[in-house]
Amino acid sequence: MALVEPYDEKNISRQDRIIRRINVKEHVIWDGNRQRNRISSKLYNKSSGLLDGMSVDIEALILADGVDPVDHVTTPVFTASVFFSAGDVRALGLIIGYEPVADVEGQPDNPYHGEVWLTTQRKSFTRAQKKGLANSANWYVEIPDVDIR
Amino acid sequence: MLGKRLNSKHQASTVYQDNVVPLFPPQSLSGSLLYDDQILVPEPVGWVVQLADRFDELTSLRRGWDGYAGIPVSFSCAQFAANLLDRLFDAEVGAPQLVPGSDGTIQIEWHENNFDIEVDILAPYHVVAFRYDLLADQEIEIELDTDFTALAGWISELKVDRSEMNCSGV
Repeated sequence: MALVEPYDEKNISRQDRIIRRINVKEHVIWDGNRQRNRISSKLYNKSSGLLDGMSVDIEALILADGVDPVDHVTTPVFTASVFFSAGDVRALGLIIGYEPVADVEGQPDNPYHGEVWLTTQRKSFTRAQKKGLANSANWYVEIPDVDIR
Repeated sequence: MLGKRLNSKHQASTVYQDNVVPLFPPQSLSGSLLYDDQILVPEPVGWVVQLADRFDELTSLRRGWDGYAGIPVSFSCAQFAANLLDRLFDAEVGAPQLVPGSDGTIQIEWHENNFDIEVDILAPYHVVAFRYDLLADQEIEIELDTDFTALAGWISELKVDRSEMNCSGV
């Protein structure tokens, strides 16, 4: 459920790192063509609801609080993650904003939570946007023997 | 759990097939309690059987499974995906992989024979299918609702011998 209306946060600068957590069991697929495990394009998926975006963690907010960002994004069970620069995300026609989570049923509190939103009411990112996110993704917490794309 | 539900759906779908015997055949009208025809419910076959446990897992994901507000795959998306796989089944092609979306959607993926095929079930009758041909370096994306003929063609090409293309670099 969207907690805030989509907007583009001016305080998120183009070089800021935007982190997306990975559930290794659900997001890693076997690629028979490349004979490698790799991340599925389905990682780059928005949440339900037209106003929902793709959930992320904003590294700059975590650092500003003196918290170790690796500890934060790997707690408790999400052992891997990727990041993009905010500039790369915006270059795909997407916008990024803060959406701290507190006291939401079924969701752990996360004051550093943000969203990557579409600027239209499409149900999903376009192929070009998914491909762009995959191409600009770098490991934040790497999974051994798994390709990022 | 969903395996049983999927089986039920599979059974229900046979109601629309031509070879199903009417529940009350004509002789019952004359008072006979004996039926000459058998009513058979086909066992589910192929990919759906192989993937039944995976469907169960995906529809049972706990909220927040993605580290954020991810929800389990919806029954409507799972059932539509299962029905689609039932129709597309080809015994010469391996079962696909199933990947959940944070929004309760599901993606069906094949990565073989130098093709990447990704079928994103956004809702029943709202499907986006993508194919990347590694040999031709060619991408195709199509939106599908009720006609999956093009997708069936893609599946069929997963079993075509492409070794000559591979050698010649075409």
